[in-house]
Amino acid sequence: MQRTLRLTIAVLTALSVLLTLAFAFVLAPGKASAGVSYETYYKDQFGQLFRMQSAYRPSGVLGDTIRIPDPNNPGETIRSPLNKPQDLFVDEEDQIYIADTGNNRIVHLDEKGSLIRILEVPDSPLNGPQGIFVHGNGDIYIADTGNHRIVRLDRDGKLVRVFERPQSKLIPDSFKYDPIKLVVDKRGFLYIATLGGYQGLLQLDTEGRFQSFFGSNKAAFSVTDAVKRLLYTREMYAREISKLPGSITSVDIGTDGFIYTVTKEVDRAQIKKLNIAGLDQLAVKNEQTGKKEERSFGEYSWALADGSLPQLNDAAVDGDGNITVVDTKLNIVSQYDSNGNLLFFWGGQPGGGTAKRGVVTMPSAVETNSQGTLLILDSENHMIQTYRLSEFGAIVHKANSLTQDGRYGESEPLWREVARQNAYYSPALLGLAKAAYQKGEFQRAEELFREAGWAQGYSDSFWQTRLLWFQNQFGLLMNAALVLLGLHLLWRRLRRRIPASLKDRLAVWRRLPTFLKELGHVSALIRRPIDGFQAIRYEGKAGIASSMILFLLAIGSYGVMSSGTNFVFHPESIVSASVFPGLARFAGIWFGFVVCHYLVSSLKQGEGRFRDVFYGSAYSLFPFLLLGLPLTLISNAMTLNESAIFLFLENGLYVWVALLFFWQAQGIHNYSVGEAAINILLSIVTMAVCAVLLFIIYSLTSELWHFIYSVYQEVTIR
Amino acid sequence: MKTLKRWPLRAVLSTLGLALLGLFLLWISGASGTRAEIGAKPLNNEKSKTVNTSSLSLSAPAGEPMKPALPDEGRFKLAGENERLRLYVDPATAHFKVESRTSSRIWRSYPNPEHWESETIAGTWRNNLLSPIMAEYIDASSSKSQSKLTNWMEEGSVQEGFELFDGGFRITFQFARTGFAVPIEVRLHKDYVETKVLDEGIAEGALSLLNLKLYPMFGAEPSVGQEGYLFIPDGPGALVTFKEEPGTQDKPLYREPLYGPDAAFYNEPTARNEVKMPVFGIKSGEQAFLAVITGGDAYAKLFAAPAGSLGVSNWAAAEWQYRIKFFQSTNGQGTEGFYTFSEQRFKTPERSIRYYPLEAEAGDYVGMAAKYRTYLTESFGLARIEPKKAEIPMYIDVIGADLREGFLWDDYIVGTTTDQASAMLARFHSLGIANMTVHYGGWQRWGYSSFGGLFPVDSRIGGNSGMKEFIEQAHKLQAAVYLEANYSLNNSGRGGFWSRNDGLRNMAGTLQTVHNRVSREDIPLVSPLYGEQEGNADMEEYRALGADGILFAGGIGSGLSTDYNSRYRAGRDEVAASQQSLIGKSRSELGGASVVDGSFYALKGGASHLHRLTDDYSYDLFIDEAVPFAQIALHGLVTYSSDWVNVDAGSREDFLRGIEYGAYPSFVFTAAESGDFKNAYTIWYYSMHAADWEEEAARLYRRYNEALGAVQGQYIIGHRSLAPGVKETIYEGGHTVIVNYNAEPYQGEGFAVPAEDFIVKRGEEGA
Repeated sequence: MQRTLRLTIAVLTALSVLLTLAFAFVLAPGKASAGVSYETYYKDQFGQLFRMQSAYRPSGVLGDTIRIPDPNNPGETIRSPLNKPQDLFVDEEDQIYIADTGNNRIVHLDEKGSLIRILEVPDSPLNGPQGIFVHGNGDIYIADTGNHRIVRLDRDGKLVRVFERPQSKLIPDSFKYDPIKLVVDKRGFLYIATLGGYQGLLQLDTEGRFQSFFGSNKAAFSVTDAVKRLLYTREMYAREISKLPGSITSVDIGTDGFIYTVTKEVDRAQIKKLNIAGLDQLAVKNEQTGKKEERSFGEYSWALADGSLPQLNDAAVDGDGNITVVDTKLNIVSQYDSNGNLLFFWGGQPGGGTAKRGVVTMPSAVETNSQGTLLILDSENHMIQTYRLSEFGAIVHKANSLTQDGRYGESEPLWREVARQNAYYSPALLGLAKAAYQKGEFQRAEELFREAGWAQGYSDSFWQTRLLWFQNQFGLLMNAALVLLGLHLLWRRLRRRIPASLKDRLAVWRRLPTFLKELGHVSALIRRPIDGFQAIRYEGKAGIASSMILFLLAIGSYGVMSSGTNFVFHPESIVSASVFPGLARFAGIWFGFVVCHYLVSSLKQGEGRFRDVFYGSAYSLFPFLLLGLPLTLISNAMTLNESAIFLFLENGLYVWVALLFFWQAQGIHNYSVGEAAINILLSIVTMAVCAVLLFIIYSLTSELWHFIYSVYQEVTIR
Repeated sequence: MKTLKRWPLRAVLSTLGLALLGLFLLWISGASGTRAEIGAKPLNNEKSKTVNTSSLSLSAPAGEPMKPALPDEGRFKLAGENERLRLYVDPATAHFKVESRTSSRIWRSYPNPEHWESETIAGTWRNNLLSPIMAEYIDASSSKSQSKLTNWMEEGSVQEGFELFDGGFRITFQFARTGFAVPIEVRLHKDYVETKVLDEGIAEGALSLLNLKLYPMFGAEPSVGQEGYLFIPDGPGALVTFKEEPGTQDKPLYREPLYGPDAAFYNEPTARNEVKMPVFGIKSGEQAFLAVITGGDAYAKLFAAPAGSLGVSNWAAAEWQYRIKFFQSTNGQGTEGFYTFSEQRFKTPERSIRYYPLEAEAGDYVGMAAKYRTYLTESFGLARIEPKKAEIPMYIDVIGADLREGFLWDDYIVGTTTDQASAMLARFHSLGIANMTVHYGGWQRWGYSSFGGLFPVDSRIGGNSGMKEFIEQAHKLQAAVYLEANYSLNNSGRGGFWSRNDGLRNMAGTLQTVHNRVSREDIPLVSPLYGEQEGNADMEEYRALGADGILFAGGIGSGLSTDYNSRYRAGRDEVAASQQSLIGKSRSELGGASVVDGSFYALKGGASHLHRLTDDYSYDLFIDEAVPFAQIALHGLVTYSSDWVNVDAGSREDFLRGIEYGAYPSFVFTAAESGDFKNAYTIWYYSMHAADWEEEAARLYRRYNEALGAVQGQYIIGHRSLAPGVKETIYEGGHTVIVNYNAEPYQGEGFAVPAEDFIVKRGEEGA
């Protein structure tokens, strides 16, 4: 029972998250706002989407008017548009380098987009260069993919050095040296992403000697894989190509020396921020389990995604360490702060044939310049689209970088302005909450953390306010405890002295209506459950009214539990306000069990009649009322530190209910333990069969109806 | 093997086809006499003289099939003349040209012969450009057939039935191969030439006509170094400047239905603004024209092709729609089915375009807008505004309430009670906002997401009595109160609405709905004529509350959808008429009518304010810039506001654009805290708390007043760029507003504009 309930709860949560993902795409006058051709969103802790004001606004198009001297017509110039450009680099002076892959050249533009020069390396022509990096000292490194080499040019474009495939025993023979992207660190060491190179980045020293493979990804390993490994032969398993770790598609280096990698075709850690030791800085501690976990990057929504998943292609890091990633599949641009927390995302499928300002059709690379402008290279429309930070986006960036530095006090007025302009933007609430916590305003911090849905912060501030409360109320609490103790002792002394006649008169329960007396049978079930159930069968200790009341109370308690429990334990209660679906499922499963259990038991020499099963099953639910309600209340006074207690009690509740059902089978049908176990098992199997049957009947009849209707329509219309 | 098998069938079919074609041609030649008469019938007051075509000694004499070619310049005959313009026509090709008598400038209905040699396009499109009329059609007998393009010249049609009359000419274009017959008429008026397609006389053979373009090349010019642009009604109006070289984009086209998509038909997703104005134009050097689609506009698509997309010319035309595909569902849910075309053509009395030739100073978008303004005053009866106050109005949209998912049933979220609204207005008034117009939304029972059966006002925000009191309070502050109403949706079933009977249906009979993703609900669209009835019935209630008008949201005055519900069947033009009647009723009975996202046909009904008028274009890269065409045409006639400052239109740039375009500021407010509406079904706006914005609103209001207070009733007579990012708007009387969007100050002659700011130069009268 507990399992099924748990499972259904999990399914319910998953479902509701899926559904709420589509939030905020509303039918309300849905015009894109002025100045922007896309909508910007924020996704909160629970996967709810909120439309927000634009964080970036399109500011222009670069690289679409390149002209070169006409080779046939000296003195004249001709247009020479980019051709499937694959990479972009912005140097310290904001000058732009484009790896113009299809034209086998590098295009060098100034910060306004005017052509400075074109690099073709005539001594040793480039062939489909896909990556470009310009070192602080002016050296230009080109990933000359078609020639399987890295080319290093000096500031003036003169060939300095060629890095061919390094020779090392550590590089497997199967390794293909097709460099696509690269960065060079301060020392002059190269980090090269190669096509399909699942070993990680190839790290070379200044002389081109192999150092190591850097920042490799782990192979995903799932349950199916475990099964396959068990069943497959070694050869078969080795053939499973998908078991290779994802190969790095792009690499970037931050001003702080961190190396950022982007990996396609993985569903976690698509972006990594690697320190010198190759450790990912973006993995975070899970609030519930405390383990370091890799997060998923690349935002999407069902409405924008149309069912496909993100395919991140490139990342760029700005001066504050904010990471911007572009998605070739969904055309969504997502921006994260330096810890990998989402700031905002925007974009979506470009509609209708013509290219639009601000909408990139095939983003191949992204860069930022010193002004905070984003540049996105569009390899299909052969140009760069630029975006500048909006006024709102600028405040968010500033406030967030202060928060990241721990300067909560300074960030507070900024976050307050952000919250004024957008009340649903959780990072602002989080920033304000942190500032309040730092100032010791725990109650306010608690409210803000709760609103932002951040369990750990809420829990910490609540712990503080609870502590304060206990400290302040200590005297009162102790006095209350003493008084209670005194009363108890008094009662014990007095009770013996009450005459029997008065006792009789005090015993109101004898005069109570039958169904209330029947409700009292619960106490018997607590003390001696099997006997209690037997009494239901043979002594008529339960009735229809009491059973119905118990059932309703239990289902009500379940509703209160699922919506009233502290959100740090049940985050899903924040996402779905309505409890109706949960209650319907609860009732459905319970009734299904009653029916199936009765059917099975009547075949297996069970002695219980249908009503006994019904009563017994209703009575078995009383722990929801007895334990569930208090637990829900207490949970609101608990913090994450006491989550062990909460989970113990919650699980205890389900175990108790499960046991009651078991005893119910024993007591009502007069079964032995073994018989009861078999019976319960068969009941569950029957339930599953019934569910499948119902589903089949439903879908067949509706299919039949649709078929008849379609035939009718086809005949009458065509 | 395969070919052998199929041969006989094909042979039989083609023989049959040929035979049919022959018969058909025979029939046409027999019938053509009567056809010419159809065109001639309605005009008995003119002395019509049928021109004997054979006597004109054409290159293609009567009976001989036509070859696609430019008209012979020597063959043009004078068809009409007045003090400004002369109309010439070539009877052989039915092409015409308009000559300005003062400047002798010429506007042609065919490609400029001077540049025709450089035309590189080949095939059907070459002939399309030469032909006075082109058509798209489909063979409806086969479900697999594709639509095809054709034109009158290419089919080797025979010129016949041409007829001159006083001031113009008419002809029925007989398509020899496809069998279409399209009667048209061209007429010279005081300052424009009008072309008309006479739907009554259209005939079809076996094929189904999808759309027509009549004189698509009117005023078209290639880019040859002259200054020029295509003007298209995208957003407030947008320019596609003439470029000698194509951009990076591959043959971009602009093709958009007037007044937005139609729920009953298939709509191409283009991610563009809806077209709100039935106008387009071309400027080339010193001469230009403005085209106004005056009849059948509801059935037009705007089509524009910059140079290089379809031929070397920049051209723009109206594409008259006769059939649009719709989804014929074959199952109950309407999820399965196929797209098909209806048998019936769209019919509308006439489809007419006025071409206003413009030249010299008037030959730009300002001149076009001024001409359109004249059209609006003369044909729609718009009159100059008498400003109520010296201060401009500020538009405050107040949200009463909305719903969200709750524990057991929906939660009712109170945004602003009527008492709170009174307090809000008093507060704004005390902050110096002297002229306010309130649009109260979400006042109906169960708030904003509950559509249909609006009255009475929900008691939880004050009820009818509270609303009445609020309006009285507002009137004391000389503020106007409009109640927002959506008569296009109904999910409450109130007011006797039953979606089976009263919902909007497409031709397949499928009820059309709008999906609300938050409440996961499909909300039925109401039959437009039912909606009109409901609105009319409510009129008394509005009056009883003292409302100054209705703010029409949800499509009335904004968009058109055909309804095939047999009880309320209405075409797009009938829907437009019904919306106009409802808007007119609000105007006449209550005093005003505001429209959200208004289309210009709403002005004909009597709309007095276009709320949140789009001020930016759709960002297509081939379009170069947005220009305030709509605003120039409207300022001084009808008020218009820019988008809500507190929902992503509050940047400096947005503020400056509002000033440049002469738009009034608008806000959406609640008395409730901004966070209260989280996860509400419809109201998703993230910052509505009035108290959080009051200071900013007051500050903005002062700045707006500085720029626009004095010219509320004045027309805009000039608009231009002084430098990149520096725009000048001139009003009657010389009041000039100069806006500088750049991060650096702008130094003009004798004035300076601070960075990201504006200055006002008073006119002679004001100084």
